[in-house]
Amino acid sequence: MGINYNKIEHLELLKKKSVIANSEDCRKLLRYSTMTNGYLDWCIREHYLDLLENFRKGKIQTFEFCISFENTGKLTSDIIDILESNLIILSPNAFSLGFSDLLEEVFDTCEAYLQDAEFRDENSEVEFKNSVEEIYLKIQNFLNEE
Amino acid sequence: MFSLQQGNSFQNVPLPHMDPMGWASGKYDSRNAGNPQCRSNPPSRFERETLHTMKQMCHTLADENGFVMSYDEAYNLVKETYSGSLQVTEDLKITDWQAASHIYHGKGVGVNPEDFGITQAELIKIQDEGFIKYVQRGNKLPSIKHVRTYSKSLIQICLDPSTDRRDDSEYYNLHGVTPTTAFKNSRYLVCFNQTTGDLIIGDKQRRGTINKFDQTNKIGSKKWIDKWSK
Repeated sequence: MGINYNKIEHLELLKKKSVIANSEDCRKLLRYSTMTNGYLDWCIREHYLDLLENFRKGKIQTFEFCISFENTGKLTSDIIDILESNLIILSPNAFSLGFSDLLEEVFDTCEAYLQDAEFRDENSEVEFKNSVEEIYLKIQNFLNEE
Repeated sequence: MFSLQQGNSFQNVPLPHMDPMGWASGKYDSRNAGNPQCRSNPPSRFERETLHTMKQMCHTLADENGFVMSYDEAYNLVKETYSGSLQVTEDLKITDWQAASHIYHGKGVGVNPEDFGITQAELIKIQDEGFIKYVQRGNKLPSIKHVRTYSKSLIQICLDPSTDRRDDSEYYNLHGVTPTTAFKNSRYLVCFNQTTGDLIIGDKQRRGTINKFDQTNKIGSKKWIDKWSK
């Protein structure tokens, strides 16, 4: 499966990052960086899966789950910042991209939950749990196909 | 002529032992009990007993939801405390109220809450149930200095020459879609309501969030984007 990623071009764009004026190059660099970020997320997938499992088992509550998930996501982005500033690039692959798309669904669900803080009711909790369950099953299917 | 009635400036400032709301909101610090001029001087028995009584009063004051004040009281307290604003551009501003209600994002833009006498764990409670409920529970209010430092960090991001300004963005939530001016760089996103000029959100983001915004020009979860997009 083609993943539309060019590591050499990514490196060249990183080298001239501070002087890029072309918006197309900016966009391409952001897209490449997001792909490598997805690879790092893939590398620590066990951590994301633990969070999901703990939430499903009721060991952590919804708010705590959302915050932990978000913070982990931001942390991997911070790590990619450091790696890229040293011109170190990870290599994304089809699995990391597929996993990344599924993680993005969890992030999106968490974002919606956190965004609506003042308007939450019991339905919000149920709806959130159902959404996470649905994505969790998709992740399990994806990992089984790996 | 001498009057027993005191001026407003004094009358409106209750002493700590007359001000249970003050204790509840963290206005006073029990560690400061005793002689403030002499840190080695321990609090007197009277001070300790007063403090204990105040704490008990605050506990007793809480209703079955754990609120120590009504919605209106909390609303007015927030309105009075956070009445100022900082201008970002001619048409955009960050009110103290908006910044205070998003202050938990401050850490992401380099504003350390501990430097202002409050922890991230305390601030995160605002995100859990919203600012007014946070205040209703008698939690500690973020200081104006803290709030302004957060606002200034956001302004710095907005005015940085490398930041991309977009005036045709859209912000989605459960209420609908809001025309938005967004300032974006590789990790930060600061958004304003174009109609009111007020801050909507300002934080460090995951790269995935920035990439999604870059491609769609939309901010908000898919759930609301799908619901409100034509």
